[in-house]
Amino acid sequence: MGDGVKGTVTPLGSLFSPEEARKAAQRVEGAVVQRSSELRRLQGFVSENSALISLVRSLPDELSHEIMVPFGGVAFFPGRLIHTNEFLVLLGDGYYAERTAKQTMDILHRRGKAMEAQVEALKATMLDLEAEVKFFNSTAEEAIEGIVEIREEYVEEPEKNSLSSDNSLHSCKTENLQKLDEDEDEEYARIMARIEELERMEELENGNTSEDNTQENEDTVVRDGDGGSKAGDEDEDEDIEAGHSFSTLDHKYEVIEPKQKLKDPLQKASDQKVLSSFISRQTGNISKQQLKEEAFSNSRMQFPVEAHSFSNKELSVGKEKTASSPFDAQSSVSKIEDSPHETTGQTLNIVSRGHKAFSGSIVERDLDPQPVQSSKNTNLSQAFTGSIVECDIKGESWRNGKVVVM
Amino acid sequence: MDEMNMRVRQEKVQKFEEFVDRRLKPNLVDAITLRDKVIEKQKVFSDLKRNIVSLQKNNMTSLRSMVNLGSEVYAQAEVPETRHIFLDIGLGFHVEFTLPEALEFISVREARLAKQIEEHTHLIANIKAQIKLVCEGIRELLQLPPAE
Repeated sequence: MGDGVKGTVTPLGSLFSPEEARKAAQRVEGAVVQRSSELRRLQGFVSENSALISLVRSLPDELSHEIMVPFGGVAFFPGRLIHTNEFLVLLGDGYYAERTAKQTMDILHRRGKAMEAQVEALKATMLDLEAEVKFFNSTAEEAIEGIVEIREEYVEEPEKNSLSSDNSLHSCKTENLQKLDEDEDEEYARIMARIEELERMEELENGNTSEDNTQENEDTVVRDGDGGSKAGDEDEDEDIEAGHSFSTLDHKYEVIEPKQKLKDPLQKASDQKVLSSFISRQTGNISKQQLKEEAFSNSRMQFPVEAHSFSNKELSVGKEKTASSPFDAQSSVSKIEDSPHETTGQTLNIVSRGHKAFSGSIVERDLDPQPVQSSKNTNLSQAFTGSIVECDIKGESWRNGKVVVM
Repeated sequence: MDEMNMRVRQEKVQKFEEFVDRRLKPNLVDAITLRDKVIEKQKVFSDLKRNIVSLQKNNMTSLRSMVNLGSEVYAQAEVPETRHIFLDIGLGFHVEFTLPEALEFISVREARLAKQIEEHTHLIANIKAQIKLVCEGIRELLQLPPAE
């Protein structure tokens, strides 16, 4: 677990004061009471309606019924109900309909259904309100008890960090802090990952060149995916140009040692482009800041991959360089952006250009730990401290590849 | 000294106002409601009286009417003979009257109701007077010009 995990502790009482919670509960209870009286009224209507239905059903049984006919509010006349099958039903808004008993029953039946639907809806509302009341009350109790709410940032293990955590960490507030803390872990993880990569590459590259293994160290070629040709570093310039030449020549590629850990994954690299992966021995050089982007890509190396396969989103891949090297899938160049928040940097993008294997050799000239400053435009020069070696890429496999690891 | 007086006065004023608002005004409202009910009842009886008189005048011996069965569903009803009428005299009793007897009863009823209304009116006037008195007192305390 990363150290220095930040968290916040908030007493629940501060968020929801108990008195307010109680007041809210009372308000809601008032609403509940109101609704319940409404409910009673509706239920009264429903029962009245059903009684009326039964009355209407029974009236036509006789020709006439002896009744007391009301006259005003307080007087009655003895009389009879006649035309027992005819009923005048109020439809609303002063409209009446004269219906038979059966039709009247249907009308009343439909009215009853509508009212029952209303009752159900009202009951559901009341249930919700009651749940709210319960919630408020329980919150008030909790606040009184002194329950606190603890929030912590979720920090993943550095090894697993690579791509997935990049984003998570990216959003993390304590990113920088964590990054610094985790740099060491990352470095170690990177080294391990690289070793694994190397082994894997070995297996894959058996057909190609043995030296491909050197790529394991890969350092990603720092590349600016966008412009491609913007070489930030002076060192890179030549590399870049060389890269260009690669692309055109298609058989040359530059191996650039990553100067910094920063590597930008060659995202832009199209499928055809193969980025040669450079040995990034620089693990040692990986500076704290930059290394994030570092070629963790070792672990990420994927062979015949698209440029995007591993890349972190933030990493940009330089096109030029990639184009230049018709590398095998194995070679992957990942660029690490020198963005401070990158923990993602580690991805090494392995972009396989194409068809050819990296037959060049990678020689590291020297390690100039230069922090890669530019973000998107990091060039190879930034990434690599070493030299750029042009290799002849004709061969399918990586021959003569020599990687000098520093 | 003056401030103390002021404060005392303010408190008194506040007390008076509270009294008015909490006791007198609701009393007034209740009294008015009661009176309205009685007035309504009186109205019913006077309508009935009018109807009976018109019945008598037109010599209507039979009637046809609509009876409300509930929820505004009406059925036709026929009154073959209007000679006897049943009146509600209170406490759930209905007495069979002939039409002239009914009229007499209604007049007696009406008189009684009128008396009740009168009593209520007195009560209401009383409460209103009290409210006015308290308001005057408040005004005096605040030394505002007296309203007429």
